[in-house]
Amino acid sequence: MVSAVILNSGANPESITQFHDELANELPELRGNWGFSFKIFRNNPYSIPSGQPDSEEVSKETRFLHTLSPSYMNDLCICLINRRSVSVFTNMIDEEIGDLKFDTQIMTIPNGHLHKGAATGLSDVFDKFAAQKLQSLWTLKQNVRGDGGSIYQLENGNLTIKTSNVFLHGIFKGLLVEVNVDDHIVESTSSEYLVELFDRIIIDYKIPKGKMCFELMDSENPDELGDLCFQYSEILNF
Amino acid sequence: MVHQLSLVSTIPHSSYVQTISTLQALTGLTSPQPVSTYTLICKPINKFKPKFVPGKVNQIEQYFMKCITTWDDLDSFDLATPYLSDRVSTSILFNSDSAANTKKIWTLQISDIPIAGKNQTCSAQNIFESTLVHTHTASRKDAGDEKDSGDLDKDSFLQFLEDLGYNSINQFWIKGVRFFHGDIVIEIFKVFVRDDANKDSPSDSIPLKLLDESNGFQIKAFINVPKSTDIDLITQGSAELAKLQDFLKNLIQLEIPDRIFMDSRVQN
Repeated sequence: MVSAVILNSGANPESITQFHDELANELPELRGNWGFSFKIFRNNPYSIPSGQPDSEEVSKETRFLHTLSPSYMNDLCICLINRRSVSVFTNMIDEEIGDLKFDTQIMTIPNGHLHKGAATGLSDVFDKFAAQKLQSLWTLKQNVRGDGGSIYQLENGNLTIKTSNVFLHGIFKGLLVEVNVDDHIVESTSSEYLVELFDRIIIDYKIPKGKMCFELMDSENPDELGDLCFQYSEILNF
Repeated sequence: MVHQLSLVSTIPHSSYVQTISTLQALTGLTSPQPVSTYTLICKPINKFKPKFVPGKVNQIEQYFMKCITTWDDLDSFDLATPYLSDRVSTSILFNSDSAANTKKIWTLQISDIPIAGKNQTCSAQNIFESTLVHTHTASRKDAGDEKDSGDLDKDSFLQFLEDLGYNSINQFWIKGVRFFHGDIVIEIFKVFVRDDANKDSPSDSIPLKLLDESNGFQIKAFINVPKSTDIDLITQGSAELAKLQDFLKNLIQLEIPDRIFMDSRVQN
C-alpha cells in the first residue's frame, strides 16, 4: 500500500459536501466512519544531553515524537521519533479478536507474549504512556483530532479514500484526505511514479487541493504504517 | 495502567516439590503455566535538570524502564533439578541479521514506587505499560547527519529505544511457573543473569547463570486491578491476598516487599 495525505485548509461545509457528493457519484463501497488522534511531542528542554556543558540550562537540540492512532485499527498507535524511528504499539491480543481477524492489516500481540508473563494484558495506549510516564523526556505540544470521517473504497477495492475533519484544540483546521493505493496496482515507489499516480487520482476524483505529502522516509525500504505517520507529521505540523 | 497488589517470598530449592504439590492441590491446576521472560533494564540517556521556580511544585520524575519480551532456553532444563551450572543458555537476540529480529514483541513498562502507609496488608503499586509489535528504522541518506550512518546495522528496536531517550544498562532472564487462584496469580521463578566467565559455550548462544547461587526460588503472589481508583476491587483483592497469606503461612512466608527497593525513579 502506498498512501498520500492531503490537507485542504480552506475547506468549508459547502466544499466538503460537494466533495462527498462527487465521491458518491463514483458508486464507492462505504466502509464506515473513522477518526484519528495525532499528537506532537517535543523533547523536554530540561533533559540535557551528556555532551553539553553544565552551565547551560536547556537542551540545544530539538527533536519531535509523533503518535498517530487511527480509529479503524483498534488501540493501535504508531509512534515516529525524529522522523526516523518507527514503532507500532497495540493492545490487541491475538486470542481477543478471534474471528474478527478478517483484515490481515490488524497487528496483534501473539498469545505467547501474554501467557509467558511478559505483559499483564492491561496495557495503555502508547501516547498516554508517553504523556504520563515519559514527561521528563517528551512534552506534549499539540493534540490534533480527526472527527466525522468516512471511508470510501473505489476501483474494486484497490483505492481507498478516507476523509476527515481536522481539529486542533477544538478549532477547525481543514479537511484531511488520505488516499491509499493497493500494492498490486503500484508499479514502483520512485517519487516520479508516485507524483504521476497521485496527480491522476486527484484529478479523477476531484480531491480538493491543499498541502500534500506522499513521500516515503526511505524509498528503498518502505514501512507502511511508519510512512503514513511520517506523512501525517509533514501535513499536520501546526 | 495496572494497580498491582502483591506479596513476595523466597523458598529454598528443597521446598520446591512440596510447594508445587500444595499449590496444585490448592488451585486444582495440575500443570501450571510456564513463565519465561527476558528483561532489559533501561535508563534515560540524558540528565534531567528542571528549573526550580519558587512556589511551583515540580512533579516530573525520570524513571527506569523495563523492556520485557519472551525467551526460549535452548536446553529446556527442568526447574525441579537444582544444579544447573553451565546448562542454561539462550540464543543471541540482537545479531546482525536484522530480518530475524523485526518480529520481536516488546512490552515497555514503568512502575511507580509502591504506595506508602501503615498497617498495609500487601504492597500496592501502579504499573504503566505499552506493548510494541513492530519497529522500523528509516535510513536517511539526505539527512546530512554523519554520525547516524554508522547506526544503520543496529537493531531497529534498540535504535527506537535510543531515539526515545533510553539506554539499556542491564538484563536478566526469568524462568518459572505460575498458578491461578481466583484473582490471584502465584509465580514461582528463578532469575538468571549472563555468565561472562563461561567461555566455552558456542558463539551463537549466551550462557546464563543463577543470580541467586543458593538455588532458591522467588515467589510472587499478585492481583492486577485495572484501575487504581476502583476501591472496592482493591479492598477485596487485599483481603484475598491476606487470606492466601494465612492459608500458606506454614509453607511460605508471604511478605510485603520493602518499597524503597522498588523505587524506580532516577536519582540525579
